[in-house]
Amino acid sequence: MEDSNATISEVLGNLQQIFSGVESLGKAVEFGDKVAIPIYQFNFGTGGGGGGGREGRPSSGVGFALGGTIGPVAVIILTKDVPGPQGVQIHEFGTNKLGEALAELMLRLWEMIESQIGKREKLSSEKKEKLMNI
Amino acid sequence: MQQKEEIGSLLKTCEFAKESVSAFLRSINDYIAVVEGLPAVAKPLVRRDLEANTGMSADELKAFLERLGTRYSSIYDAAQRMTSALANGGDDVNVAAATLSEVSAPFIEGVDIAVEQLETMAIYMEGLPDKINMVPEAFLKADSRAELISSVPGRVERARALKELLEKTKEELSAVTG
Repeated sequence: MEDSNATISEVLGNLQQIFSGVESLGKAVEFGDKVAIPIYQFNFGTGGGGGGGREGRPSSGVGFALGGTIGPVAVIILTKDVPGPQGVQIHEFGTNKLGEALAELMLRLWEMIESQIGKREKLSSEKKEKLMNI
Repeated sequence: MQQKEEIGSLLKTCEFAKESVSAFLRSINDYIAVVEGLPAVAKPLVRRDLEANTGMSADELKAFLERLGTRYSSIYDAAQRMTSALANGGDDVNVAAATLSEVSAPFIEGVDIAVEQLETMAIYMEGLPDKINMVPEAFLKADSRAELISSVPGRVERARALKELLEKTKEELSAVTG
């Protein structure tokens, strides 16, 4: 009984080691001069157990279960016209940073819309100061 | 006699302008509330878009309008003192005129930029509905989109109305203070 449990644990342990933390690139999304590539991570979890019957009433059983999750962990943003590392941005989605990363993606999208509509001139700090002291 | 009429006209313009500033300020507060109610993904985007296109965040715009309202109150009070001084005659007229010049100096210095900025704001607001409609549904839901768009037209008119009052105030102040 102990041997079979040990073997299952060993197999599951190996599987967990193989699959946990595997990262994969998602489908690239193009918007304007930018390309966004999501990175996904697979997490593999297992559990198992076994037991024998009471004294005088021999019986035994083993069971195990496995499961996995997949989720986005980061997004790579490539700027087409910018060569080298300057054209690559990586935004990690920490558990509470997903909103920030999505907002960043939105801003890139908005910049594309902006470029189609035409931006206005920026307000200089000198002008702003005069406005704030009016 | 002419100076009394000019001061009277300035006082009326200041009254309208104070109301106009308050109305615009209320509308900006409404805008801030609408943006605050947007989904977390869209909120920073809308905030940064306003700043990128007008050079001012909603909070800065609010601070500017509050400041402008205070400035109009100071000019109004100084113009009223000048009306009293003109009625009484004597040296008080010179003192009141000097006070009016002093309190209106920052206004004169910044009014052209303010006029330009209000027109920038009006143009930005005019183009906002088209821009909002270009944002994919996945990022901005229909109800948020409708709320954001429906709040725009009044702000364009208010910005332009205030701009005209600023220009008028500048002319009238120049006539009164020389």
